[in-house]
Amino acid sequence: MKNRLTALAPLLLIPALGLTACAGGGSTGAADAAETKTLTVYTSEPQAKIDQIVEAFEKTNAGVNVEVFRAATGELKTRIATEKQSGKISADVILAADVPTFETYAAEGTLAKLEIGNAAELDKKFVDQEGFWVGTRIIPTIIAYNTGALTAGPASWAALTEETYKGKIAMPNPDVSGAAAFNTAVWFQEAALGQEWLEKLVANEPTVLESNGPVGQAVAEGSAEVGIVVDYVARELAAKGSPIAVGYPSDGVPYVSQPAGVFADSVNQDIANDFVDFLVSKEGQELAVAQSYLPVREDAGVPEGAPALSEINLLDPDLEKIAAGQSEAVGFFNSLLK
Amino acid sequence: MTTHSIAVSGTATDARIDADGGSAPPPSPQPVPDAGAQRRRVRERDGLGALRAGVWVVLAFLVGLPLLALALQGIQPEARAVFGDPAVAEAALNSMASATGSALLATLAGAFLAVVLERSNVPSRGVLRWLVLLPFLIPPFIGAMAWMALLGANGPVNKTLQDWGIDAKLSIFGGWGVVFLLAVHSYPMAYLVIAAALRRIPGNLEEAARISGAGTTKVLRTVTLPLLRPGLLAAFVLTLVANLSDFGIPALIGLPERYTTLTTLVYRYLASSTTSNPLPAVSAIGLLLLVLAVITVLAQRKLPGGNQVGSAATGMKLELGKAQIPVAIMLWIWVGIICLIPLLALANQALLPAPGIPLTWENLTFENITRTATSPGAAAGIGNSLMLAGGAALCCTVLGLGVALLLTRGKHRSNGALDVAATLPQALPGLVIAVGWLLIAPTLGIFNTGWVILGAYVMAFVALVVQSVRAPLASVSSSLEEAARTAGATPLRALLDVTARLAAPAALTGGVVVLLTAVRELTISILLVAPGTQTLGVSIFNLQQSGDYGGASALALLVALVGIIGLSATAALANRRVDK
Amino acid sequence: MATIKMTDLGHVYDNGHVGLEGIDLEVRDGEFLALLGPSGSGKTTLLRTIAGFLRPSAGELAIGGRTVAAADVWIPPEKRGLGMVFQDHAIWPHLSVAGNVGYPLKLAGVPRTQISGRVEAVLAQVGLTEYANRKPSALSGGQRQRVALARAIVASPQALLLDEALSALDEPLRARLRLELRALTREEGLTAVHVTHDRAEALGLADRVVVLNNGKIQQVGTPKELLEHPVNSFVATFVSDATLFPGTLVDGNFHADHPGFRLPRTQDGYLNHGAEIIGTKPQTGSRSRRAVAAVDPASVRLKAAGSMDQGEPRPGSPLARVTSALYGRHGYETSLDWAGTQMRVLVNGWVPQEGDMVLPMIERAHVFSQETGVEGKQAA
Repeated sequence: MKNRLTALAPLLLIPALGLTACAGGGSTGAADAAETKTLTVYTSEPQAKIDQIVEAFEKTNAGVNVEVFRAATGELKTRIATEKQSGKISADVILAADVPTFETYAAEGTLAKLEIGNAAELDKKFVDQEGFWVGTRIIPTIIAYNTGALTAGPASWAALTEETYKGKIAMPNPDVSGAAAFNTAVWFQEAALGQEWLEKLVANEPTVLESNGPVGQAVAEGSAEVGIVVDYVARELAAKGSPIAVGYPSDGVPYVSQPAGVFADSVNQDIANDFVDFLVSKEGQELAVAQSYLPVREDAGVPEGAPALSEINLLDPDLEKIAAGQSEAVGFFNSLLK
Repeated sequence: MTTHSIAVSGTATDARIDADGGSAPPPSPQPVPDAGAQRRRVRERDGLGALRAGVWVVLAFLVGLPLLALALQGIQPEARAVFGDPAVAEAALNSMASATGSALLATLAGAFLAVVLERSNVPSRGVLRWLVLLPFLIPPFIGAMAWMALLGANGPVNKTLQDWGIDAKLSIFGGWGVVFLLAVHSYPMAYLVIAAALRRIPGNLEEAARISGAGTTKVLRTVTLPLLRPGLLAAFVLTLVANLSDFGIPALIGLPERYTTLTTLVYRYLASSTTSNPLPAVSAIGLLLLVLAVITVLAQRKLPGGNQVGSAATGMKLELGKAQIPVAIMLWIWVGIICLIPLLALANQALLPAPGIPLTWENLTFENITRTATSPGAAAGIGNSLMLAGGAALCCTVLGLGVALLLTRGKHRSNGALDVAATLPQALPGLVIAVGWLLIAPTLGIFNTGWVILGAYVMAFVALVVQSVRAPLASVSSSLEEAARTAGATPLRALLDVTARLAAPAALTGGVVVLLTAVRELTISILLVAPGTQTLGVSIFNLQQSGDYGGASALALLVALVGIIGLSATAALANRRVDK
Repeated sequence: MATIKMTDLGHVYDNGHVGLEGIDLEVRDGEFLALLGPSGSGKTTLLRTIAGFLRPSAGELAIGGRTVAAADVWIPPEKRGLGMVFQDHAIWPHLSVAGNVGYPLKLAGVPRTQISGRVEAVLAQVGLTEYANRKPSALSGGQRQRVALARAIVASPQALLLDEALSALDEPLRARLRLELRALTREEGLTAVHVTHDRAEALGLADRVVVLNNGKIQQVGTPKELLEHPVNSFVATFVSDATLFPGTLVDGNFHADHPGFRLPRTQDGYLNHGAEIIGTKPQTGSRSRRAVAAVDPASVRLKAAGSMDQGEPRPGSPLARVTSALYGRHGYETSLDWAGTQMRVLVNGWVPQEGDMVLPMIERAHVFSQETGVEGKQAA
């Protein structure tokens, strides 16, 4: 009998070994929890950028360990929906997407109210009146073009539907990119553009890449001559030396403000609130500027190569209408693609 | 009715254990989940039954549970509604077409390479044999990235063509690109399968044809190829199933042209918020893929095996004569285009500071590589992947060894089912496995932890060890074990002392292959990833998706190189052992 | 039918191993020649060289007067017009019996109508008429080997090559096929080269036997010549299981190192009665030289230790102990330990028991002067 047990020992070891192997991969152990608090952030920020933000935040908040889960906005929304169904959202902070999504979450009771110490320094339109979210950076969607292929890009959305750009346009997928979904709704509802413009755009056979990153990439390497893309992606590539230039469409620039909020389920409400507040603090905004973003407060400066906010014709549609019409707009756009 | 009979047999079993004076019987006549296994365990009374029961319990948990959850979820009426969606039908069609087309191409290429590289006297075939396997050693999604870099509208190929005045506008995107790339990444597997089958053909069958008056090409046509047919079929089925499951290539190459396959459709359902609860729909598609895979696997098991007992005579040498040099040149072009240039394109992207910057010596920089390799995101990805892959390798080695031992040594009527249970997951799209684990994770309380990924990895890769151990084990004469039995060992003892020891090196090799495969895994991880468990594949995919192609390429290049070196070294070691 | 002529044939493997060296041999028209030797002796290498699966690195090979291999000549196997039977039959599993047998004819361009007739005739010859349409998997081992034989002779080859053709079969079947093979080759007047490691088979079947060792021909001769006049100690031990006794040859007389080794004396006292001395006979008065005596099991008589009081007195002769005695067809195959020398003796007429003490009486021996080469003529 004893021999048999010895012989079986390796099999019994399987789960045990698995446990050891995984111990480091999972959540932090109980011993650590006493000393450091872990803050989990869901974000669609590029990995390198969020890494810098976290580093800066951790420096001023000793004892806080920020864990980042980065994914495209669409994925984050799915994850949050799934987690809500199975009980509890496992993150504390969300930094992603667009205001309509946050409005929906706020309405569903998913978000906690914020106390933003820096609120006074910010433009009102970037702060939720009910206090559920705060915009953290202005991300306009613009038209970028490859300077090797073109001397000047299309000056407006209307110009983009011209025959010359047929098959040469790249744009992000509104199913995946939060900004793209938002933009689609804005275009759809903007009187000057609307359904007709969307139809013409799709008739120009754009390449629909997954998200903004690949669009900037495609324009920079020249596989697309023109791209509909968020401006910082294009400006960053230009700064690194890529042959890409930025044009802010004259007929209006839609933008998202990359809102941040705290989940109601969070057990670290205070720290989560601090993290969000940090994002809109002077330091946080200067970091945003250094990361090529347009800031939400005026004392943080402007990134290199970017125009001042006043020079841009920002579109400020009714966000509630956008929220209500977003899925219809995306659905319409998708139906055109088929 | 069934429950009743199970309960009865369970009681009888317990009673007999008691009478036997063996382990303490459970006090109450509860229904036992696998009463049949228990009954057999008692009948054998030799420990082998215990091993078998143990392996079955682990497999039932790792394989049965996720698939059961998937099936239950997938047959709900609301889930089936997904089949009414024309997008699903189109994706299914695309999946079948791309998988069949690419498997056909891969089999043809594999057969050609096997014959030329195994049999002919083409110069430099030693190096070529290794080089043609390169696409196998590079994860498909990284291969896709490499080809995107190579065939971008402004990439090196199109640029060169333009310089020559040809405005070809070659593009890798779209259905044809998917088929081509799937073929590129699966032909090495076809080659390996066919080459193995070719080596199993007894050389004297070909010699008999020679002496009967047939020249080499005639021998190839009338003897070698007909005998190779089962090997060709096996290669076709294997590549078909593998290509049906691939995610990286259709995602990166197909989606931009809106060429959707079932795998990318599932991903889209899961990753985009258009569907409020995507799990039922995804389960239904997963169930469809599961059924497809089961049919394919069962069909393949029905195929006549190509395992003739080979004689010592080596196969006929194919004298190429004057064709020697042209064939060699052709193969080197092949290797260059298919295997080397994409890697260079990847390196090019990794070494340039930003896209669109001309490739000159001054512009090259290691900035991308150092930046990504040292970034916290990548470090976490590498750490997690090593941990998860290591754990998976360990579990797979032990479990796979157990399964292979039972399959090759015990003659038991549950062996057929055991075989299917252990090797079926390999034929399943990673997405199916991932969805299965996504479904059971909340119930098991392991949602959003590394355990889900570990479980899915073990399920997906245990077959690698089973296969690696099985062939050498089958060739170990059972008389070795019988000798141990006559020396006084129980069947289990004999199995562990003799056969398991002999199989251990092969199991280790299998484990290393699991490690190297899991560490670069993308399809499963991307769906199961949670805060703190981001894997290396996901890190690369994230970098790529957020537009940091330089960083993504840098990391991908490192992964590709480590994979190539690691797998080559493992193969070399394994071969050396075989030669001995 | 044709002759096969080998001139100074040599083969060196890629790894430097010498497979064949200096093979001079002529297989006569219609002759059944056996290649005999231990494994690694080069017999299969030689057969495969004749078949054309190996290219000799030296020498010439001619079949039916046509040079098929030389320094600047190379005829591939399919153009040599040979038939070959492989050890594990090498029947193509994807073709029927008739398909297998008809294959060489098809390749030779024989019209389809004639093929079926010829196949039928050959299948009748090997007794497989009713199996023509079966798949090989449905045949027994013996039947498969018959199919292989039919396939090898169907196109009337210049010569038939047999590579351990019967070795994979069980004994009774093997004996029967051996007879059938002999009859068939006689009937067809086939030149046959048969590789085997089975001495009885080689001696029983062949007109002449070639004994090979280390890639060199040791002896060519009829079975009787090999048994009665082996040219060296290797042939004697390999063909007859002879026991070797090293010793010294002085003035034509052999003195073994072994204390018990005695050859019968003649009346005139000539020491080496019954010894066949092979190799150049040392001139009288010349210095002594080392030599070896080979004693085959049938040339020894055993005397039980008890009956030693009469007959030749053997002062100092050690006794031998019986270590085993196995009953065989020709008597008890007895092994002795004779003062440290393991000896094999064939005993008839009485039953040796293990542990018996006996005195071996050597009646005949072949003495090989170690300076003689393989070519040395026998002398007596």
